[in-house]
Amino acid sequence: MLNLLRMQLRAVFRQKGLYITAAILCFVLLIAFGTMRLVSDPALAERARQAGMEITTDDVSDAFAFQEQTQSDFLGSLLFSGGLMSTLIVIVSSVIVCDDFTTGFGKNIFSYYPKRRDYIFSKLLTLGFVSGFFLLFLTGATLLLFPAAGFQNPLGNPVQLAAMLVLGWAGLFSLCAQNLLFCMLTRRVLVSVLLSVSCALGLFGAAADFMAGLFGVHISLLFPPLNVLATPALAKTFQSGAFLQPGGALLVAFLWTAFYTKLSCVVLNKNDIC
Amino acid sequence: MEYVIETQNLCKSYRGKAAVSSLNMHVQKGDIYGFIGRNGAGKSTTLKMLCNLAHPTEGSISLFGKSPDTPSVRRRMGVLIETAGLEPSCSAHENMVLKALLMGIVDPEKQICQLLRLVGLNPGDKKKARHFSMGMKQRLGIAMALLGGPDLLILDEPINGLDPEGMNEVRRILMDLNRKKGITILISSHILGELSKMATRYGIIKDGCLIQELSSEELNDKCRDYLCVKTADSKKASVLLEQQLGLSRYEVHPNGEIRIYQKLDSSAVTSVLTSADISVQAIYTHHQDLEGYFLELMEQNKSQEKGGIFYA
Repeated sequence: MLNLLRMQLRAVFRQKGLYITAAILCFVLLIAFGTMRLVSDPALAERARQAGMEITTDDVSDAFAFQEQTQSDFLGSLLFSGGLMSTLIVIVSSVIVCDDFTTGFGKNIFSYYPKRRDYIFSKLLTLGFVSGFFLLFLTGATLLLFPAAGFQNPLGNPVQLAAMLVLGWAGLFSLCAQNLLFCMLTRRVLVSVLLSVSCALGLFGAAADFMAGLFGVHISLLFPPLNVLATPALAKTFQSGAFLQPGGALLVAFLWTAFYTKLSCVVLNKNDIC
Repeated sequence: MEYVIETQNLCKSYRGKAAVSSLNMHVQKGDIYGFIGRNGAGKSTTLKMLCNLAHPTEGSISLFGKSPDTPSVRRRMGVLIETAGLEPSCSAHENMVLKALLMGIVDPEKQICQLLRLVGLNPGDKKKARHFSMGMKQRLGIAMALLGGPDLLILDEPINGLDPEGMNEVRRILMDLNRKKGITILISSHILGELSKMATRYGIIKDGCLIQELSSEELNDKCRDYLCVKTADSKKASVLLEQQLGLSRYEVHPNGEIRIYQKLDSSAVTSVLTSADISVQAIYTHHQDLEGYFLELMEQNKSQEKGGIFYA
């Protein structure tokens, strides 16, 4: 299985697509920080107004709210509660997984590895590396952009920041496992992206919960996005203990990952490779 | 006898419809086994089952006398099923590296360059696989199947999309590998002319059933030339020829054809029949090849289902 993992990591990390996506995200962050600087600096804002740019009072209050945040809180909102990492990872992982079936490269793998769980495990680990890459890249880029754009926001508690990233990463693992299941079921990028994005943003969970709620059953907790979306609350819940404690969040992420991995193996084992 | 590939009662159904039924295939060591059948006959499904890409509904597969799941068996196999499975955004060389990595081949560079050159591809070419022609993709697929030095090659339509020169080259490569390295090859192809130039054994599949397995010698024997006579009354004509020319080895087909497998002078046949007022619609010597044999076998099967052929 290690050979398979090595191959998959090489296939993913030697492709330009990964770095182009990272560069686009970096560019978007750059524009966001630049705009924030423009709005929050009175002199720059005045020059912008003279140049014809419309700056509302809401924009100004948003900019001040932004400056009140710690860098950790901003990262939590940006990466997790805003759904950026969830959406990004399910799209990237759908492309990576379904490509094996659409290009036929999977035939090389499955004809050599009769135990298909090897494929599922190596793929899941590969997706874990990919989500880790984006998580670190976006964190690094954001932390660099704060001083680069002239913002003096405090970092916040570095231990809590690290814990948030680790727990977020664990939550993303369960999303990757869920997405693997969709890919094994559909083997089509678009369909699995649609299903996964719906799930990652909690839409499917909410709809299913609503339907089940008609019968008095609530099942929203069955969907792993809750884990990921709840991660930014960590900084606050460390003190209050109101929502997911770190150990509990890790356990939930692990259980979901194991559950979806098992299901993915079952589905892949049942179907033929075309 | 120990077979490299042996299947017993192999069956595969899709939603209750049989794609392969009770297939008993026997491929011996050193064979170039030509697997022939019409579109949808079950060739690819059978090959997929051998390559672990499809699960049999019933029956068993033995490769090198072991279960196909055995890792040591998988290491001895190279496969190319339908189209070559390539990473479109990678070059030929990178595709080979990826396959070598998943196989755990240590220091594969030399082998990769050798194989790419063997199939006529340039190892240094940076062109991405998505821009390859069909022929180049098939060549790369063959090179990938050869990685790791397999003892058994399973190739499904490997010469699809190749130009005549390419076909010739692939045939030469496969025959060389078979002769020099003793690699057993199971190959399916619609291009029967090409197949007949290299196969040492054949398996003919129809509607999911393996209707015949025979060696190339047996095929040559069956593909013997014959004198074909078409008359309005083939039964009366055959009796007359038996009586007057001592005809003994022949077949009468339902379409009015008499196939004479012994040496007879066509002018003598014509004169015997015309003197008995039996008009001769056509008389010619038929040279049969694999394609002719295959088509005839398919036709024969159809006729047998309808009524049958009379054999003398």
